[in-house]
Amino acid sequence: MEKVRGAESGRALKELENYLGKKATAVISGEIGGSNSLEPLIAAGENNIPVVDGDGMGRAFPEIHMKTFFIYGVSWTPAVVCDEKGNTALFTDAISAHWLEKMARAVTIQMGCAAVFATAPMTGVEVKQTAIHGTLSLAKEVGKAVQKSQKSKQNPIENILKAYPGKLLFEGKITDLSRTTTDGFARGYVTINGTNNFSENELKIEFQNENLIAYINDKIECMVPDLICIIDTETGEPITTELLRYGFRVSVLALPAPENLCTKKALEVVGPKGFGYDFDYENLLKIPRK
Amino acid sequence: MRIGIDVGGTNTDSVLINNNKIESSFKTNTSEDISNSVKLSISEVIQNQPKEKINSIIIGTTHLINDLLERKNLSKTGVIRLCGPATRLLKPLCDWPDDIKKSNNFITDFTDGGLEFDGREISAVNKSEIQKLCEIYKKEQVESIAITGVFASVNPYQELEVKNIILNEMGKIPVSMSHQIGRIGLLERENATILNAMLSKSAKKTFANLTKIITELNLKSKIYITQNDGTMASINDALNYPIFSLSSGPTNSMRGAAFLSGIKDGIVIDIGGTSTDIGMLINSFPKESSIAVEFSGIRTNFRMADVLSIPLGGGSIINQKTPYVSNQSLGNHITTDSLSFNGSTTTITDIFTNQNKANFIPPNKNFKLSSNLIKSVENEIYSKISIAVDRMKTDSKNIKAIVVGGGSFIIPKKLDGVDLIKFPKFGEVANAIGSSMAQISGYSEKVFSTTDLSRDEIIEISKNEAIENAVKKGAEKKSIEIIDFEEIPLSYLPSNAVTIKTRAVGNIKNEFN
Repeated sequence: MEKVRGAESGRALKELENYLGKKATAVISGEIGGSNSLEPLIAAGENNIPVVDGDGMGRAFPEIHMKTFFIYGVSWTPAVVCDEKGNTALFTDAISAHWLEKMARAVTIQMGCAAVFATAPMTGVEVKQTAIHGTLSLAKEVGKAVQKSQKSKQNPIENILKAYPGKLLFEGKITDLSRTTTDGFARGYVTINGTNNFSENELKIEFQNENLIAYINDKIECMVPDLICIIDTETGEPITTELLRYGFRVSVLALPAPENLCTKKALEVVGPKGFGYDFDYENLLKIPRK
Repeated sequence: MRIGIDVGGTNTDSVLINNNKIESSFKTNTSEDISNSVKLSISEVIQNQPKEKINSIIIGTTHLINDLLERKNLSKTGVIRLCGPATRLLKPLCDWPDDIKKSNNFITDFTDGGLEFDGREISAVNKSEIQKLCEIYKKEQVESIAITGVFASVNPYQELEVKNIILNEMGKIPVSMSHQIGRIGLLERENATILNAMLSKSAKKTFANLTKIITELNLKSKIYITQNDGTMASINDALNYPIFSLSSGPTNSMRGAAFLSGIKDGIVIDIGGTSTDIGMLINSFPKESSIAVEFSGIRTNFRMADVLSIPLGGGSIINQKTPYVSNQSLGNHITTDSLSFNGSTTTITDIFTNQNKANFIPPNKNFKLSSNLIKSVENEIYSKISIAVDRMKTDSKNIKAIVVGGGSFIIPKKLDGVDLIKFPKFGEVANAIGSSMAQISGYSEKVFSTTDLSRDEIIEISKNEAIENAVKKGAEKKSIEIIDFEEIPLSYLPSNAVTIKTRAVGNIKNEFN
């Protein structure tokens, strides 16, 4: 919010190139959720190379090791972290992606809590095999749907679901919220009381930065890695866990995760068990995946 | 005694208040030069009261926003961002409409300075760099300056340092500092700071005229200007922070409704000729909007009432078939074109004059409307208002509603989800009453690290800062209440950083009993 980007994005890519002694031919987003989706566009613009339409998560996840690149075998090092002041940290080895995350976070805090991270140098074939395809365009379409709805006073929820087929899980008002920040993660739950077609029902969502499990009247209706999105009913704007507040009128969408996140290998990392739950993923949405 | 005035686009409303009672009220058209209608209003509401007993006059005006919309009386502005190497990819004004960028000459610069979230410096302020900028400003005849430092809300010392350098170099020139204007969020705060700086000329013109009226009428009263959030500012503050007075109308009518009805928490329905504004009152203040507020296409992030406006008013035109109530209104032409005024257009007002349910006797009552049409229109009003009220409610419990504004008579006596509806006397001048009731506020917003301080200590620091700010602006300490408190954890930061926002309000010192 406060530190918009300076020269650090373009520089992170150059530092990685310097170490590898090779030029990148393209960049790709590690995470399509949040500002990370736009970061490669800045780096690509500054270095005059193209951006691959895709990413390593197909949504947002809280940690580096949850990227499909690493789930499907790409190396997480070398990696660099750059700030706007001209500082660079290079990680040549990390015993796991989780360790890389811990070290990169420590450096980022010293850099002022905003830094640019470049990692996972890959070949074109590796990108094709491990990335989730088409998500940059998908994000753009969803954004356009929201903008269009706001301009022409159409129902934003319907238009979002046209851009990303899924289902309207719930509609209501936030009535309870519990949130604690531990180790840099916002953990907690939010309770939403139903209105309109959903009145007399209650939805509870448990989250760790991102929404993980949605229960309607204590029965699980959607679980990670499928997406649970809390949207401002009126404007169609997303409401992230940091912005949740009592009294907001929201719609909750359940969107099917891409196929790459639902393989046995991926579910070990990004399924319920990856977030400390004791049950396995179950496909409750039954909506075709991309 | 005090006078409240609301200068709207079409009407200027005024009231004289004595010991929390309304002595007189007056309504007139807003004149081209607003000072004429303000002067007339003051003379009219004072009536036979001794002039020395009027100790304050509180004015709300839309004059500044009109100047901004028409791009006139705007100051040539020097824009400084204290950022060091950070944030340089997005320049100041990057998301502003082209025409306003062109209508006004800006000089924008990135300079050394800026802070990290925890108050460490990105880099120090470079005195000679600022001095060089001042030379350019002098040559280019810059009239106002906007300073925005990265994370200046955490610690304002760099912005203050730069302001001092500028004042030393350039003498008296308006300087706007972002930490006094906006919240966390660099671009929105910078936008608001630049807007504030640009409006300094318009503010000077508007408010200087108002001060002149006081002298002309031989009054000894102090004048205040109402702000967007229901509080008021001295003329001096209004001159320094014009952006806070850009849009006070909706807030004033909600505050007035709270006063007239005695209801502190509820929903206010303000119905005029063209539209109905609906907003929630929380502890006698309007609930603020959670979405970024845009002015004339410029995105800001400061405090505004969350008001839902629907196209429904006394002048709404009635169709021949369902839906009977249209989104079009006769507006000011209702007194010439509607059935009640011998015209040929059916409006909502005619539905009510026909049943003797309006608050006035129309020139013409000799028209017939079918009972079916009357019933259908009443049902549509009922459902439109009920839906809008439900959209603005913050929980599903039944609430109290207050109806104000000139079109109050069209609102049904019962609504869904509402267990009490009040139609207070003087509701048609609620906005002027709101002006007269304005209070003084103090605000604090900061990012804290919870590893060094306990949560209770953090909250205490924040509350004290809000109270101190209110006292500094002239509030009476014992009347101050904390009316808003919010904590937002900043995730991904292991030091458990949290943003705390606190707002305190109090009565103005030695003015109100």
